[in-house]
Amino acid sequence: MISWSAVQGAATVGAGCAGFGAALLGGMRGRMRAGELAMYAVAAGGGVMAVGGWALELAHLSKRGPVTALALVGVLAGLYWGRRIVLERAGGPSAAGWTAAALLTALLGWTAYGNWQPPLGNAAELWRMAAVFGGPEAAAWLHCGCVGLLAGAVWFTLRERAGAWAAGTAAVLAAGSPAALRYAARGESELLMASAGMTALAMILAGRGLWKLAPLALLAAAGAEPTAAEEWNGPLFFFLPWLAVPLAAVAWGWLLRRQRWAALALAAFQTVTAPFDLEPEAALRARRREHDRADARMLNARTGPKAVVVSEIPLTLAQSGRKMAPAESWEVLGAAVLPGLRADREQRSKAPPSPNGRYMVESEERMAEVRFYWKGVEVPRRGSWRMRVRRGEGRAADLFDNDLVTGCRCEVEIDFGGAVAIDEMRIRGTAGEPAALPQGLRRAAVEELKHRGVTHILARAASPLGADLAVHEKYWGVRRKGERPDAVLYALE
Amino acid sequence: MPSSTRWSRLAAALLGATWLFHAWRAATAALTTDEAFTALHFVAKPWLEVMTTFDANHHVLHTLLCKLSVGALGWSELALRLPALLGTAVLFVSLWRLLRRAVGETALLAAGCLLVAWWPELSDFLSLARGYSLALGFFTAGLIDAWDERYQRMSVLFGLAVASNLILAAPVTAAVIALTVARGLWRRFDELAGPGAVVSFVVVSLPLSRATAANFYFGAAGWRNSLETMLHVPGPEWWSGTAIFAVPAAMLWAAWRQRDWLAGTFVLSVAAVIGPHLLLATPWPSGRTGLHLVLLGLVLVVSAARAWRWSAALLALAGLWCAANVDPRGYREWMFDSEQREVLAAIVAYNPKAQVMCTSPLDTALEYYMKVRQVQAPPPVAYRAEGLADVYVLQESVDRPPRGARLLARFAKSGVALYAR
Repeated sequence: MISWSAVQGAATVGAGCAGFGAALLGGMRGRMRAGELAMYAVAAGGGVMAVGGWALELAHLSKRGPVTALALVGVLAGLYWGRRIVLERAGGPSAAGWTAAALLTALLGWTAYGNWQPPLGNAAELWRMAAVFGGPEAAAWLHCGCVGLLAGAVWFTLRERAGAWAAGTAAVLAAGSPAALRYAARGESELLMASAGMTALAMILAGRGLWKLAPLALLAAAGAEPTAAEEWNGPLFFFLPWLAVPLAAVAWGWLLRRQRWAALALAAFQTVTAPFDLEPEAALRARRREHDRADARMLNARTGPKAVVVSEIPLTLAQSGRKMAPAESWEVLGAAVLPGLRADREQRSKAPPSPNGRYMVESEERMAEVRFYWKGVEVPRRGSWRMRVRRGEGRAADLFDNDLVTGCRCEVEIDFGGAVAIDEMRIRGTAGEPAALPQGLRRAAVEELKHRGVTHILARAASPLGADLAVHEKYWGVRRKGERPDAVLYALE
Repeated sequence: MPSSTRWSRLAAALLGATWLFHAWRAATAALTTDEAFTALHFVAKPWLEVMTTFDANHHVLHTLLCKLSVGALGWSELALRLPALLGTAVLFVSLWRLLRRAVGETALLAAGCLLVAWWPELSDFLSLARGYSLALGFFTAGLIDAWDERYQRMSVLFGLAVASNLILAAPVTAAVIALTVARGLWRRFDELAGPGAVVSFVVVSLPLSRATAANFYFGAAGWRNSLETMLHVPGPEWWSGTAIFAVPAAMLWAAWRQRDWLAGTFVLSVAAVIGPHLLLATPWPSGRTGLHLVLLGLVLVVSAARAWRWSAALLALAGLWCAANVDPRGYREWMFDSEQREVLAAIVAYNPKAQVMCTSPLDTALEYYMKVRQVQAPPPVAYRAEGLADVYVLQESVDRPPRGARLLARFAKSGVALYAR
């Protein structure tokens, strides 16, 4: 379902970019073909819009009205000064060429749009302006437009020097690469950065005074932050730094400027391999590390320095700058809801007499509570009882604290301090016959964590525990503090 | 008939007979460890897995052709080695044409073809299902086109060579650079490099994207050992000891004498070995990974030998000596695998479901034959003297049989012995 406010946001920002750009080009009395006009105008105007967006943010006016007004100013300026642009009609693409370019841009752009995810860190200024209207989806619409901008920039970089065939090959390889459509789309604003950079290069190479607008084209990517360079950019570009991919495409186009069948074969190879998820494991690991780093940045930004976090994502203190609770704290949360950790079973076993008053309690499964019985009546617990963990991990006292969310996988020795009459032992945990669970375990788990000094929970959005936290926030007693595509941060209330 | 034509026909006949020998060998010799590894871990796998896996043993284009071959003809030694035989055919035709251009229709042509075709280290790989003959065949065919200034076709053939075996990337790059510089082809560089780059990328890039430094493990520790593996000659020990100095010296002399693009290719190829070793501590070539240097060097030596009247006789003698010392019963480096079919037959006759314990590297070929012949026994496990198994397959010269085990069979050619408890 397309969000029209998102489309509105992208269209507003795009129109503003084009308008300001046309005004600048008209002020220079630029001479160019129609395709160049569209590309240079959007890129140069993008820099003006980005600066304008900064100014609005500084003035705390980053809202629909002021952004629309800014765009309107751009459009009006473009309509007025843009009349001075001299359009060269001869030598441009035919109607069929325009149609093919439009269709290709639409197809590739739609793929890029479909794979787009919100940036990991700082968003580009243009993204933020569009998001004012329709959230991150508006920025995704701009993102798919960047595919066309990138293709155009690569085309015009090579067109005059190596011919249409070289330019077309390079444009298809750059815009149709998995780097543009899938992998970088999952991260920051690399596509915007690449298209801004290539447009600036095209402006410099074009001559005719257009080089003066190159800094503005670069400003269009203001605020964007690249992800780690280990992103896999497809079988043609391997692990090249992302911003070098369009330049590598230009190199391919130049190399194959007279080898048409080879160019077609290469483009076909890229097209055929694009639908398959062919990322090497190394790239997947690198991206997981990058996501972990992004999660750590979110954690840092949303919590105070004294926060203690129980995290499902393995982050170190060095990564996050926050104290991480021990892993057993995570079991406390899991014990409230997860099968395999929930104490929804009970084992009953005969307890032979122990003349020396010592007893060993052990289970291969997790134990939450232990009780002793004599002729069906619970033997009252006494302060004189002593207990310690002989083997395994956990705290022995957790087995007698009336709390089903605490427990251990351990062997516990209990010293009753003398002979005690017992004939039955009941272990509440994850083994044995089904037993009813009381209400309020989620809240109990959070209270236990608070008792241990934990202040926040960082959960994977798609994990079972993360899903339960999202749905039953109020029952848990937590409040959402931060969110990323694969992680959610909660504060304990 | 002019005597000159007689020499070229003799050379062609020698190469034809050599090819037939290799075809017979391919059809009859048992699979070796390396071939069995290729078959089990790559040829037998699904297409997508083949294209998304990398190993030093995985020569992509060759593997793909093997898959087509066994798919059409079934699992047999000949089907698996068919791409290698085709590569050898291409290599021999190209070698004949290359030497004919270099030395004309002279006795040196026949002698040179004989020597190169029977060079000890090269000879075995002309029928082994490993991709070296295919790669060298494409490379040599590309050299012909380079000679005749058909650069686009040359580039495609070079790309196929690299796709058949990544080792050829260095000499192919060397050839392109040497040609560009020697003939001033800067403006036509795209013709020399473009098509080949596309061909090799399309075939190799996906598997190569899975490569790690650990995959490039094969090589010699030192330069002397490297030369020994490439330039070993049959006969007394001191012959090889002399050859590892004399042959490279002859090659370098020939390169200096020729001083053309082919010599430049050879020199740059050698530099491509030495440079990375000094800068990145990459291993020296070992035997098969230096075959392109052997081929180029020998072609240069034959070309330069025109200066000496009796060179043809000497080279022919050397070629004949090498041919006479080829053991048709198996492959020199893998003689221990030469009777694996008989070994398996003996195991099955003793106990069709025997658990086999086997010393490395005998296990790979044995496992291959177990799978192909659908033997019910589980795959062989690594041998331990104290381990328990039904049958032990050992190399007599290396391994001690387990205590209390009795000898089942002995295989003289391969030096393998079967023991059972």
